[in-house]
Amino acid sequence: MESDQRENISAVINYFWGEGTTSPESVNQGMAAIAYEALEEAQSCSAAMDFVPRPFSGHPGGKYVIKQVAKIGKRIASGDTQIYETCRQRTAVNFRNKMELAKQGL
Amino acid sequence: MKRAILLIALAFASLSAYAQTDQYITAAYAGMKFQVPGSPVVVGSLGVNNDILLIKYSDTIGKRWISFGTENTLETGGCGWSDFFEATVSDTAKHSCSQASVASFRHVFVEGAETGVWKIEGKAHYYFLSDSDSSFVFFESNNGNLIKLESDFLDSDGFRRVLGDI
Repeated sequence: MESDQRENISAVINYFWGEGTTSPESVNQGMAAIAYEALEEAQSCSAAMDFVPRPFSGHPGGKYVIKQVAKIGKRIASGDTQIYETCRQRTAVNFRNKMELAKQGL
Repeated sequence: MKRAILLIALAFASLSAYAQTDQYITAAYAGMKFQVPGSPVVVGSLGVNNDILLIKYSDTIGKRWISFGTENTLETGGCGWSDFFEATVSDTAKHSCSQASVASFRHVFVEGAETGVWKIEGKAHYYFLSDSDSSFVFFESNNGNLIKLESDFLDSDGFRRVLGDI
């Protein structure tokens, strides 16, 4: 994982679960995978509520997941989340424990 | 020969008796006690505030776990917890909670899940059970916190046993 990808993926994780949840250096493959699932769920939720973005889709292999999450993370870091706040909150509650497991490599 | 068969039968009987007595252990969380399957491989507290109790049964990453977490910040669209969860698990559109709050919760937790309420010792436990993903049970603890019980492998009976309903 490249350093700018780590930075953008940590932006996604901190967007969902709050600043300080992780740092770029701590991001691992498992955390990227959970962040991908969370983004997919939040985008699907937002789309279902007639909010603009459509869910991204594709085969969630390791490199694909990292690229996608990093891409969205770059947008989030610039303040462009395009996710309905209520969907972000629901998704954060749904995936919080899974993310904590992934952080510990469990 | 008879003696060997007798010895094997005795060994099986001893093992199953041992397995039965060792089948469940007590987990304490948020001032409450729960019965979880025995022989975990990892037990730990996780989360930024260490408010998640994890009990894991496999060495495979992300597989076979039970967790207890506190979710007091769950946004309920202007309702109390019980009214909010009643609105999410019932088919009726009549409720006083924000429509967006209920709709978003339904999208994330209810779609594709078996949902309902278990009354255990007079207290409502709202369940959202999925065959393909994590399942959840939300309930209020004795000290007034909203608890999220989650597992990637427990079924309906498994959850009810953890909650002391079986």
